[in-house]
Amino acid sequence: MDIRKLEKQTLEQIEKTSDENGLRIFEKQWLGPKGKIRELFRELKNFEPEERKKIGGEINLLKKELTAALEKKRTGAEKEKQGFVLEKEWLDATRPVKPAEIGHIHLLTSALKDIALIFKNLGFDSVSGPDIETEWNNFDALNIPAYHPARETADTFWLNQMSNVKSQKLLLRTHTSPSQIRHLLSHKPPCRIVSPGKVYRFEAIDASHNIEFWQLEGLAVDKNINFANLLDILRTFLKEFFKEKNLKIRIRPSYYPFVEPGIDIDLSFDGKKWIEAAGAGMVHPNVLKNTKLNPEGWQGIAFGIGVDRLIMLKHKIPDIRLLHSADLRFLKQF
Amino acid sequence: MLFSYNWLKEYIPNLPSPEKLAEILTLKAFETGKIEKKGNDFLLEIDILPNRAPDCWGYLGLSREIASLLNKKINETVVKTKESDEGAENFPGLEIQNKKNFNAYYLKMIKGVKVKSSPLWLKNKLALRGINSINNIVDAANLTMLEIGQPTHVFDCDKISGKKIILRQAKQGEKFVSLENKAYSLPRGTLVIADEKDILALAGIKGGKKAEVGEKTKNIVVESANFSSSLILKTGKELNLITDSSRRFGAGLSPYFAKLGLGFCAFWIEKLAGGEILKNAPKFENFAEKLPVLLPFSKIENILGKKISEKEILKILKSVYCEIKIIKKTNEKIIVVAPPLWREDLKIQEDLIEEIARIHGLEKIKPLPLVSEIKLGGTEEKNVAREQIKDSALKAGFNEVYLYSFVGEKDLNFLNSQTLKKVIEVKNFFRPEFRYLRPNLSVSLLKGLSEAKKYSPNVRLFELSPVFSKTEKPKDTGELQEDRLIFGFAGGEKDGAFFELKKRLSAVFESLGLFKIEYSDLLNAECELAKDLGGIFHPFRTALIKSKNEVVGVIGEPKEEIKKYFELNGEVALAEIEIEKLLTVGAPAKEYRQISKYPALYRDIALLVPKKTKATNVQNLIKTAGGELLADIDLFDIYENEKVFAEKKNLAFHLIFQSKDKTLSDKEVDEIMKKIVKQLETNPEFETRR
Repeated sequence: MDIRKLEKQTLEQIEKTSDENGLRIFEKQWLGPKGKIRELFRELKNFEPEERKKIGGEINLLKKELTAALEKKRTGAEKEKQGFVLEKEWLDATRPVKPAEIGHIHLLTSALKDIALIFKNLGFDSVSGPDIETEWNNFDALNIPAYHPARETADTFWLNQMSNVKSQKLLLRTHTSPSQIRHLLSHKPPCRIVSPGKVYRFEAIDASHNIEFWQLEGLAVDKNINFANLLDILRTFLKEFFKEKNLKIRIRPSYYPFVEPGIDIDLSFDGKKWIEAAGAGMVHPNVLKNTKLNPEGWQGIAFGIGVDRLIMLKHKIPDIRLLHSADLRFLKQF
Repeated sequence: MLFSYNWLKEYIPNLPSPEKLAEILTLKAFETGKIEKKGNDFLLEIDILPNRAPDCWGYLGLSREIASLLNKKINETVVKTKESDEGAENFPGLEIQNKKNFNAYYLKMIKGVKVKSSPLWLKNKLALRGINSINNIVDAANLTMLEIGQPTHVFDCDKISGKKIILRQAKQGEKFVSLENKAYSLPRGTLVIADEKDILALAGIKGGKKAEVGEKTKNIVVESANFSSSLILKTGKELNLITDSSRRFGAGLSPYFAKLGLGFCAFWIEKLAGGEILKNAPKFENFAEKLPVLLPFSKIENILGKKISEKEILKILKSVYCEIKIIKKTNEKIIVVAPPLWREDLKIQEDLIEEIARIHGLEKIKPLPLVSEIKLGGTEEKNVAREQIKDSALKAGFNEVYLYSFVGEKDLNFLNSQTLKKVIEVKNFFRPEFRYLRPNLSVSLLKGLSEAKKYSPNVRLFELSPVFSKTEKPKDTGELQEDRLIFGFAGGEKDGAFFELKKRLSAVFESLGLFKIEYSDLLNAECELAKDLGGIFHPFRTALIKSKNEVVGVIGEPKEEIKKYFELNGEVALAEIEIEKLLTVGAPAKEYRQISKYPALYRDIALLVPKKTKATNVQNLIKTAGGELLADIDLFDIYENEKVFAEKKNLAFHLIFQSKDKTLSDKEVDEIMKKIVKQLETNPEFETRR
């Protein structure tokens, strides 16, 4: 009995078998209850006891080797098969998809929220005022004289008379500054407020002008608050809002009847093209008087920020009218 | 306003380059934008601030300003005229009927002038501002306006009727013919310059045809004056006649310029047209002397938050032509400042502090953190609620818009007459589409949907904004507006627009913690909102939205004609909600609801009901009969087919049974199902099918 030769033949046979079926037939033939290994053991009785022991050992070894070889062959085949099947399940992960439909919050809402949060951290309360105002709140109280060009119909939307409010002419507010008046008449200083809102101007509509736009009014009245504080608050706000290292801020003289001294704040990223972002100044003593405060005892800072302008600058929006558009191709970008 | 660089150089010969000058002006005085090269000159676009228009709209004033910034002196034209020995007694005299509206009035009589064409340099100077050259006399007056800023006027003396120039206010409807031969009927009170017969000029606005200087003119009267600026603006507005002159007077010229302008104009007339200036011409002055401003050094630091040296402060004040004196009063050093006559804008301490700050350099004032008690900023509750609503709308898949507050007349055609009476109208609307303030959000959102639908098949929009309407005797303008919330859908969903919208709206309410929202038929509803919006919505495809039995909004599909007007094809639905009501009847803080750990059992039930049966009524019947073990109920199918069911429809519900305390058995659930079926079949028209 040449076990060695058998070993070589059988291992070669396993190697050559490529499918599970063949392996199963081989297993039955060799390792099954009626298989050849059993037969070999049965034939042992024909040998001398010493010979029997030696050959018996060799048969046992052969059995182990065949079992191991089958196992090895099978896992290999399994892996191969698995790889084949999984590959068939390949998906194209690069296939473009249409993003799931979600809602979008308007840029104005998110910007106003960001702005209010920054000012909240600076200790400013957020308050609101109505779009329709009296002539006194919008002009007289703010030290804008009668027959000032700003009151002309060419700049202001006047409303047809209805039942009068405090026998005043009514208009659509041309700035959020009436919020200063409303607040100072109803609250005792010291105070710090911001007041966002829609404002209206009688203007030709183009890419940078609209008949409605958004402003944020700021006001702080205190015993010693000063111009350097105003500059600090505005700088802090602008840096925080834009979070842009290259942001350059330019302060230049300006004129608003309700502040003195008055300034404009321009912004630029390249130091060449400047965009006016806000007007500001120290509250004019006449405004304090009009709100029953003594200018000898109180000082105030005030600012008006053009919200649309800031948004356009931050998000590179070329046309102010887009902010009033309902076009989803615009709305969905933000 | 455009200014010529070369012209400014006549006042300040060694000016910095145009670019450098523009930069200095921008940072210290007036924003200067475009610089345009024109021949060997440069035109600078300088945005003179409104309070400086009275002095800086003239080259003299602007040059003074530039000189202050550069710490230089200007070359002033030496105005020297010879006066004849002859007096002006034979020329018209002056009568002033309304003294309070005339601040200053000066005349000069010039005899024997030669009217001819102006020299080229003068024509060129006028052309820079787009002024046509007329003749040497008129051109001299215009030159005065450009240099000094003071409008002057010249009359042909021989065309004046009678012996007097009269300053008065017009009677209602008085006639005036302007230089351009245009006739005006004047409103009462217009300030006019007249002779004994006719009106010669509208004070401060426009000269008249009657005493116009022509080729044959020999003897002239030069007028330079100062009038009540508000009256000039008022007349300009009433006649819709705004001129270079009226703009300058309206800006509030200093009366000081009137005398200066007269001398300057006469000087140039004499130079260009010859003639003899007569002495003792009549004049009138009616303005108070300017009071000095007391400015303590300490005030400057208090306002600016920076200490600028006393020496520098005084130097700056002197550089802007202020006369100063220092006094001491109870340990305080005070500067007594007499601003120059031509600076009407320097009246109070703060005005002078601004001069000091800007000439010192705004960029040199270091930002200083506010030292104050620490406090957290507050947010109005209303705003917190608004943010929550917006977040919920976002989660439910709506896109936020901000549409115009204005609507047009045609947009409102569908509203009933009662509602239209409450609409607020803009007096000076500039386009019919922007004539009214929107009384509801539905109209503007329909416009929005229409715009969006052009580019997107399915559109879901929302807006939270005020609407406007008249109210009875409002105490504050805030009562004329009210916040509303609108949701809109346009597209082609399988469920129909109404239910697509209702589905998402329900998600919004749920997200806001409003679980008890009910819907009821719009028809014959008595509430204000339903009446106001009634004209827009389909009467049988619309419902009231109620929370705790109070109407908070309306949801529905617009009528066909409305969709057509707004060019909306396909399915459309809107829901307009009154926020105030929603929030007052609104939600308490959300509380945890126990989640059962026991398994649920499921049953389906289907029943045939008459077509007009409300599904919610059937569902309520099932709920009541099902008791508290019926954990949830879901209407999953509605089938209508006239061939199969005639006048009926089939409703199919999933019922979910679950206990919080134990595992339910099939038997228990079957018992409940029997109860439900029994309850449903008490209605003879209902037919359950299982």
